[in-house]
Amino acid sequence: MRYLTIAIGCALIILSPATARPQAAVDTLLSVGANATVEVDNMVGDITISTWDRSAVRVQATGPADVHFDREESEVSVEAEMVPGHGRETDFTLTIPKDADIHVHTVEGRISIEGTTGRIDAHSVKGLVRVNGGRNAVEVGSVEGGVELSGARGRIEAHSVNEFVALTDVIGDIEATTVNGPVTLERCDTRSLEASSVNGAIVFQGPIHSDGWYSMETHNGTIELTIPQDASATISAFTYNGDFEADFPVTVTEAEPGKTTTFRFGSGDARIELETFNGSIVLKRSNQ
Amino acid sequence: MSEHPTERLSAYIDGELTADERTSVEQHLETCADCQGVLADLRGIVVRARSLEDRPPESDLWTGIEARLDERPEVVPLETHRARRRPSFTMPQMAAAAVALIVLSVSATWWARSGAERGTDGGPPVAAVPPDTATPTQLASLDYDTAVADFEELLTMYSDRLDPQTVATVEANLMVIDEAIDEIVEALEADPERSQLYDSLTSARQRKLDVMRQTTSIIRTSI
Repeated sequence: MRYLTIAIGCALIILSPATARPQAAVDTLLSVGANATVEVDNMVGDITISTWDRSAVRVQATGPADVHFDREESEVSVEAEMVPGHGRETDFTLTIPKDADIHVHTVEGRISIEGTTGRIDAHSVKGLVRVNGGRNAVEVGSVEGGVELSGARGRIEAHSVNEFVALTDVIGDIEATTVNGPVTLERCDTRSLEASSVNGAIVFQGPIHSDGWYSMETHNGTIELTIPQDASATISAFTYNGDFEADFPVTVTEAEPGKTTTFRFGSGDARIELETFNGSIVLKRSNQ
Repeated sequence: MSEHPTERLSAYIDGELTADERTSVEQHLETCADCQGVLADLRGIVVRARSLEDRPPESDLWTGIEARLDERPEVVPLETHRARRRPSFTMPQMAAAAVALIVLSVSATWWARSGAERGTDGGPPVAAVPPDTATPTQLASLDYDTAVADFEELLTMYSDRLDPQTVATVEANLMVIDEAIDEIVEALEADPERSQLYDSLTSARQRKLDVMRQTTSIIRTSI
């Protein structure tokens, strides 16, 4: 009787439905040709990408989702398919060729990309997107998460809706926007800048090129612009409920009530437009 | 100083010059403040036109979303989907609305500004445009409101596949922009001579359309 009980117990354990899908561990190496393109689509979970000098893509994944691979010549795509009833979060870690182009999308998860020199398209619905690198065309965005971009060169688009956008050491045409958060641009070298927020400050620090056009706009926030010593620019500034502040003497060339106030530095070549409804406009002088 | 390469500056920005032509232009720019100023203006035009250039993909986005909805009747039954859709909802109309908004807003701003000038230099009197019936805010509202309503409807359709918190966040942010728009309109009504506010209003409304476009794009590529 004792053995029968044990046998029935074992049978019940073996036959009982699994209550949890084992955490799948994927570790795959896929060789790719030159000019590779890597695409990763995840629903829930983080995506971390770094680079190496090999012509191969290594994909590591942990989590309950089924991971599907597809490779055609130089294009590798990786997709996580969620299995109903078996947990949600699957994290990816990829190592890719340094110059590969990247398309990365996730709904709930962070994206981290380090050191690539290819084009980048990285978007999350509700997670931080952090990218270091990228060339030619770099598009990063999140609806609920912040966006951090550094070391990128080319045409840059960085968008959030409910968080901050922070760009550092970026070179190229820049479009950086959010609704509810600050937009900060530190050491950004651009000849074409469009930075905007609604509830947040705009901060810009970088060279002002004579042939450049710079637009910074917010509704509820301060605009802080650091002017290099040698800048040649015409600044058009408008604030409805705020003040102008400058930590150095400025000469107003035009100031009519209800209109834009204009400042001029050097011969006034570059065009700078600053607009905030409820915030102040702060001009600072850099030592460079 | 060599002859101004004004006609080649646009091609220079677009990267359409040969290496020699580019070098020539850059050498000229180094010493010519006039051309540097023209180049800065051109870059400004390019940036401002960017939102208009983005319209065709927006059309594609919405078409794709509609197709997805049709592909998944278990999520939104076709009959329900059709019933929910307003007869006027098509993406070309959406794109047209966005463009029309910009054109109308710019036109209205120009009209409002030039109206004051016409009134002082012998042109048609300002009263030729009854302010109570043709203000920029009213001119811009019809197509704009349709676009906004369509987006909100789409967000509702997606609500069963999006985290409710995400939907709430997007709606809260659109409300933030609405509050900004209301504040500008209020200021404009109190002080209609403050001409910069027309630009602020146009910009804020454009911002809302941009947010809707960007959000749709992110959601579409991620789900």
